[in-house]
Amino acid sequence: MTDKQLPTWFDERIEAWLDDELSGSEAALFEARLATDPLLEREVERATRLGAQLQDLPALQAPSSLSRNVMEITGNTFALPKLAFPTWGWSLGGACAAALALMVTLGPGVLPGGEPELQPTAQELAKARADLALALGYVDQAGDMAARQLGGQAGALTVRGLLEPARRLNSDGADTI
Amino acid sequence: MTTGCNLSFAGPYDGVMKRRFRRLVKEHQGQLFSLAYHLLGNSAEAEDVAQDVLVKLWQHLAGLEAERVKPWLLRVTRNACLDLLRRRRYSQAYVAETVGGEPLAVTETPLDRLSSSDLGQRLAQAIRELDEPFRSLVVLRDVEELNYQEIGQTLDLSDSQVKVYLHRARRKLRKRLGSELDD
Repeated sequence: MTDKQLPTWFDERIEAWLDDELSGSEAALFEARLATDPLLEREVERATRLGAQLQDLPALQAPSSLSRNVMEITGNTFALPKLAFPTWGWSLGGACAAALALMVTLGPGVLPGGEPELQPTAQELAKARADLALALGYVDQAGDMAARQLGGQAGALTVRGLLEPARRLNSDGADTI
Repeated sequence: MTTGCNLSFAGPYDGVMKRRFRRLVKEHQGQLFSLAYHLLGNSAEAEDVAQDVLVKLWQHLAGLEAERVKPWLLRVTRNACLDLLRRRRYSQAYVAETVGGEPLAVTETPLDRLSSSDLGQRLAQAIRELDEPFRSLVVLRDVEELNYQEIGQTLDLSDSQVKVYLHRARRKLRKRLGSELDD
């Protein structure tokens, strides 16, 4: 027995009709045919049942070992995530940020013009130190990347050496200022 | 000399990123594992893929904007699964060529076992037999319940392409299952 064929136009639009995505005129044409064509009706029923079966497919839970392993790997392997574009641009940007943070922190001592009129509050100092720590994180990582790109440790040592006073300030800040 | 300020070097940055990362792992790990599982049909491989992807997320976290994280994760997961499937096909073909005989077919996956009915099992098999991007589309839409925009971002398709391909994928499944879908 040969199965009667459903016209392709209708067959291709069954799923769109079920998703209510046919235009007004297309939907009207489709529904007029559906009312009189048992073959189209059967295919619509099949598509409906398929949709129900697809929705019954289970979305799965991750095993508990997944996050445990990920945290272990990332915790052991990386001190800081990789920066988005590891170039000298980051070094420059980081150095500028560090310099800015230093100026905010040390303003009275390093800027010309004598004593400032306003002293920073303790909160401002703490914020400046946090910004400095963040900037140093970037600069340090950029230095490491640059050293790796140059194929040795010299670059990193130089960058680290340059930053050592700032780092000391970050840890001993309140006493030094 | 120590002070009242207890900041460690790069502490704030490190802490913020770690908190963000932990939150993202918690939020997305289930979906990544589920997507990999449905594409690969193997629990251990799916866990390996999801783990690798989450480690990559940590490496790229600083450069990812919040709204890009989910499509990025799904895209990287799907690509890793497709790579794995390709390697699996090559190795099966290699074994068949060198040892002789037919390549081993994956006859049953955990998804089959999870599907309680015969029709559910046949459907799982039919989904595995779909070509890309139809297989990913069905899994992302019908199993993971992503919206069209999220699917488009993941598969690099426009909304209208997603709709058209998804209808085509379901039609392929309907044709493949045929009378099995009759009551």
